[in-house]
Amino acid sequence: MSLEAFQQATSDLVASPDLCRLLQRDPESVLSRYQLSTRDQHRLIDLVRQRGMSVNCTLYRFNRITPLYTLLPLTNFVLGESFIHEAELFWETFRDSDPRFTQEVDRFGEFLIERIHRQEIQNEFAVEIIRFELATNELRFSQREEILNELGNGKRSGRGVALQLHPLVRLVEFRHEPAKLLQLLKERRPQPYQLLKDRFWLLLDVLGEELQVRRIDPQLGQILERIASSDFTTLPEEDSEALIEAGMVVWSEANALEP
Amino acid sequence: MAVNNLLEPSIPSQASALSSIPKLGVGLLYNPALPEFLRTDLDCLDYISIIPDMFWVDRGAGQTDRYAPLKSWLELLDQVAAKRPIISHDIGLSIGSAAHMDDAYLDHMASVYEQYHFLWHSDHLSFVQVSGPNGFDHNAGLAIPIPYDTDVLEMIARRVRKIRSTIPVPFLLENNVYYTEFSEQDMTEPQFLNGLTKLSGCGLLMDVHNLYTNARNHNFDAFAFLDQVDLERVVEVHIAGGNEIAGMYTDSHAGPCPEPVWDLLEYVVSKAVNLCGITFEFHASYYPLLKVKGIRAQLERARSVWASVH
Repeated sequence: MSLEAFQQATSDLVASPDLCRLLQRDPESVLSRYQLSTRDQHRLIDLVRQRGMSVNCTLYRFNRITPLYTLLPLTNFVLGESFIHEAELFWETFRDSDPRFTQEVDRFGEFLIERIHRQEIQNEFAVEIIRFELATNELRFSQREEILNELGNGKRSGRGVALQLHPLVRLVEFRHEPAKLLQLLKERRPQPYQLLKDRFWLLLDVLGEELQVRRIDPQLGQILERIASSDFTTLPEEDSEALIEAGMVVWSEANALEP
Repeated sequence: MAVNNLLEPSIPSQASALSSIPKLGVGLLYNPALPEFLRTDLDCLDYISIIPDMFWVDRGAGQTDRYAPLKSWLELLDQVAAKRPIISHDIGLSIGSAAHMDDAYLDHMASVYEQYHFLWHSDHLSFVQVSGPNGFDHNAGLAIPIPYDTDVLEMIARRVRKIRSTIPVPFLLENNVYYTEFSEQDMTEPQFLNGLTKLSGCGLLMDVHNLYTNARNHNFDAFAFLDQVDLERVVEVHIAGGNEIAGMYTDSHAGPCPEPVWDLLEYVVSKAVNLCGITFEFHASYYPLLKVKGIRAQLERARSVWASVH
């Protein structure tokens, strides 16, 4: 148990410069949290006095921020300097870093969206950009071949009672003209932006080898949004077939009827 | 201190096992900047080392179909594997974790072996997984060195034996880079490495850039360190570059190798009779600095060192 506790304490310290400072200032308050041998206690006290501990803490932050920067580059640009502040709040909230970087990025994205909804982050473009990047990542890391094979071998080709978005399709609602917004962000133009405000929908898919992004008619966007949220009660059969034919929706697995 | 007791029984078949591995030459650790290089400049490589953790998405412990393949990455790997031997350099075993060993990870590595038949495989002498809240594993965010203590040596040796019985090719452990030192350790690092190879039968991946980094930061003689290590156990050498962060030199894989790393490489190559490969590693973000010419220059220099003995 002592080695396990020692490793837990070491990893907690690497993750938190504040905890290192507390250990320096008031060792008992930190050491009492773990079941440590006397030698382990000496080691930890010695550890936080070494200059290398700040390198460990820096590398921890570097390793944890890299996937966020890499997979949410536009979110990073939209939030600007507050991005790192939000990441630090996220790490404070979720000390248990997820070893699967895609899940870690998803969790950070949802954390940001919650903070925006609580008005703890004020940025009019952030939600749509976060959702866009999360959707992009989901598709990028989806098991495209597996899904296509499953859909192609008849498992889900039957007539069902409920539609859902195709597993290789995502729908993202924008409140600002999306093509211009994305272009401004890619060009790293500083805010504010003067953009047309309305409800817009982008449809993203990896039905082909490459990610496709297209703006769709608002009426179609609203229909697909209702399908995505399982809020659809009726849709004429010919419309269902048209959406299936277009690769946008499939019959949901639970209700699919084998042909 | 009972290190000597731990060294019995040794595994006599291991020296011959290491000496029977094909001597490959010079290789490169794969990173996402390299697909084009592998298409155009494969001629300068004798093998490719891969981090298999990058080629499968780990959905997490307990998930069905936990390791999901990244198809485009594996397609590239298949193309390369048809032309050059593949070596596996894992980062996810976390062999030093006290809490438990990830058997599902090991099983996955065994399946990767079945697919690519790497000639040897390796991981790091550190831990990255710890018990998190509610007993779930969580990632320490950094490969943290293990203390060089007797109980840790015994634990890791047991695990190495399990790995060796699961995957029938030599398994190597890489010497750590460390920015802090644990006080009151039972053994020095060379004693620990020697004890581990004897007790467990593993080989060593001697990362001379890690060694250079440690020697520079902690002010010791890297050559004297090498003189204390049983270099017969070294199967692979890593070379890399680094830079300074927060007042210390770091193993950041930042471009070309510094001159002292080449000196250390020459020293190891001249003494490591079972050496099978020299692997250059750099971080993908430094590709614009190195470019094709820079990578080739590092590989050619490594090859000249290799050729001085082989």
